[in-house]
Amino acid sequence: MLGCCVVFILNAQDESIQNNHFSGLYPGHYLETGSGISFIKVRDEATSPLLYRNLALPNVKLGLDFYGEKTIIGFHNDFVFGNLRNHVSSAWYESPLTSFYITSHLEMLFNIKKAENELKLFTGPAWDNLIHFRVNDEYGNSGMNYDILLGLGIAGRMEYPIHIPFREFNIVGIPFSRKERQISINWQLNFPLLNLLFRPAYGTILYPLFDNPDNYTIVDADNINAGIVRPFYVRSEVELNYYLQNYNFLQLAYAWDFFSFNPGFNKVQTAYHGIMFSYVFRFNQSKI
Amino acid sequence: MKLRRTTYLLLFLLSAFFIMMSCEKVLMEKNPPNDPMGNFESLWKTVDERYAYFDYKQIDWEGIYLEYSLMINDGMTDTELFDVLGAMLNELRDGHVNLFAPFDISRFTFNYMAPENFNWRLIKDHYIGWDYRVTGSIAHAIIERQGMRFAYLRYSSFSNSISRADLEYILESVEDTEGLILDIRSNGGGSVSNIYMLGEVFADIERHVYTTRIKTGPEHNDFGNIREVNMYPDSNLYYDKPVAVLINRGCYSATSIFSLAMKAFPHLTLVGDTTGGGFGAPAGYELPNGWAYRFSVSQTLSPEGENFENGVPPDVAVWMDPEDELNGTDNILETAIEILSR
Repeated sequence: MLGCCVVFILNAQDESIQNNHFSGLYPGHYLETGSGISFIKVRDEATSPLLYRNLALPNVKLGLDFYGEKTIIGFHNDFVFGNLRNHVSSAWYESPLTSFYITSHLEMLFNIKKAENELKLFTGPAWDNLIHFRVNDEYGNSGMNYDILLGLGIAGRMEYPIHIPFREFNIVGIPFSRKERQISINWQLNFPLLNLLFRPAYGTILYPLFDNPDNYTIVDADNINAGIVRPFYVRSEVELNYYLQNYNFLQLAYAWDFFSFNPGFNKVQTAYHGIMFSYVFRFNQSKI
Repeated sequence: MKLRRTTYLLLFLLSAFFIMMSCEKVLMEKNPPNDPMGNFESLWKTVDERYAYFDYKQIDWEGIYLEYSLMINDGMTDTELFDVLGAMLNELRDGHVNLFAPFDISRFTFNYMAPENFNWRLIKDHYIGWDYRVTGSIAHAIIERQGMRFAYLRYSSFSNSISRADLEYILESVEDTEGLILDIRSNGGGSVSNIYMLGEVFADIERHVYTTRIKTGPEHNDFGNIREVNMYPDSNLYYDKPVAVLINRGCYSATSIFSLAMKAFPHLTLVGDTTGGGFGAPAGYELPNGWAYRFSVSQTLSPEGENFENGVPPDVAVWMDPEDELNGTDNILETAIEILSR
């Protein structure tokens, strides 16, 4: 991975983007690989009234983007693993909650406003999935719980490309120069409207799932909840892209998820904060 | 112009970030109060909404609240709080109910109501000897009586896994016997999966062995649909001769469920004392102070809908006689041999 980055960065010296009217991402296919740190908070009243939270590592991001002149097809996935703790955990009475948090977003966005060197707005349908498995041995038979959300909704995206021109200047008589740079600030909001949630029913006993399939299935009617904006899930991601000379770019992103489901019992709420650094490869290398 | 637009954009994004953070703070509920009354209320309410046997056991949980809430005060120590909460949970009279604190575990002793009715040393000294085989988690030997050979199998815990290879070896070695004695006395339970592995050795045809239902709502009688559990025959792993299953009060949880399931097979006879019961699957929860607790959230019923939470009665009731025990006789095992000899 590191080797690839070095090769691509060195390669950047040969292919120079000569564009003083930078208007954002160049059409093409992009592969996004990143990692970072995240912070997860969860309160699942099916097993505990306490809020569990902690830094979650590793946080891995994988994505594909198909950028056209007027459309963006994006497919992004985050994989997060963490041991969460509550505020009464102590060294002699540990109760970590092992959390596997996976999100997946597929969206097709259409440009609704575009102007050279100006704000670009996109919107379109999105398919958002959230899978959150939690394991806490302390709870015995109900030690595993999960939320699997499949949501069909809308996404909105804002892109603001910025061209920073080459500049020479003096500081106390010493000449300095600033290289020409192209960056963009993007914000995307995914909001599923028609939602399907798989979550253990009231008793939260999962062990028969492994013991005898006669007893329990994940798709049992008791375990399925469907609704409009229910459960509630929203994802917001802010990105800062720094474009390299070879059409690849570096990305610093901050993502925030909030998930909540309250059927009148066993309320569950999850919040996720992730800061990720990604290298984004443009893998169809046709010249612009 | 461009710089101003960029500034506005950054301000907008920053505002959006803080608005979202504020929403999260408002939407996510705070931790409940971690004081003696907060913990008491949390425990009482969770058990009230989820415990599966209030109606069957005719427990006045509201009355228990009134009685035990008077014992809670802000100045009490953790040990005092533990004792009150543990005593309240013991009112459920359920071996599947425990409170786990760092310094103690509360428990209801379900098998105090009868003598042990099992003496492993006696069986080794007077029936099977000390050189019995142990295949996987099952000890087995042959008991010979009046020219007849009976297989004796001792399975001490459903927590110990049983493999198909273990059962194949054991069945091959007891092929020439006239009957089989399966001794599961004082087996406190374990994994439900072992019920099927062992039980299906005795399945002549597919049989409905028990049903389960789980709590689906906060009212005492809110249960989901009844689910039928079946056992299936395996022609390569089948013991078709008479079988006696030895049980006692120490048979709890998965062992009680196994005993109930065995009632479905006509060539099996339960011999001994009523089992300890414990048919509810225990689910775990947590108090605001971090102590864990568990209790039953499901019911297991016979195929006819009968509830055996307080124990599965034997087909032939026998207790060990203390005097006979001193003389090296296990009355329950002797009765099983007598039944199989008929």
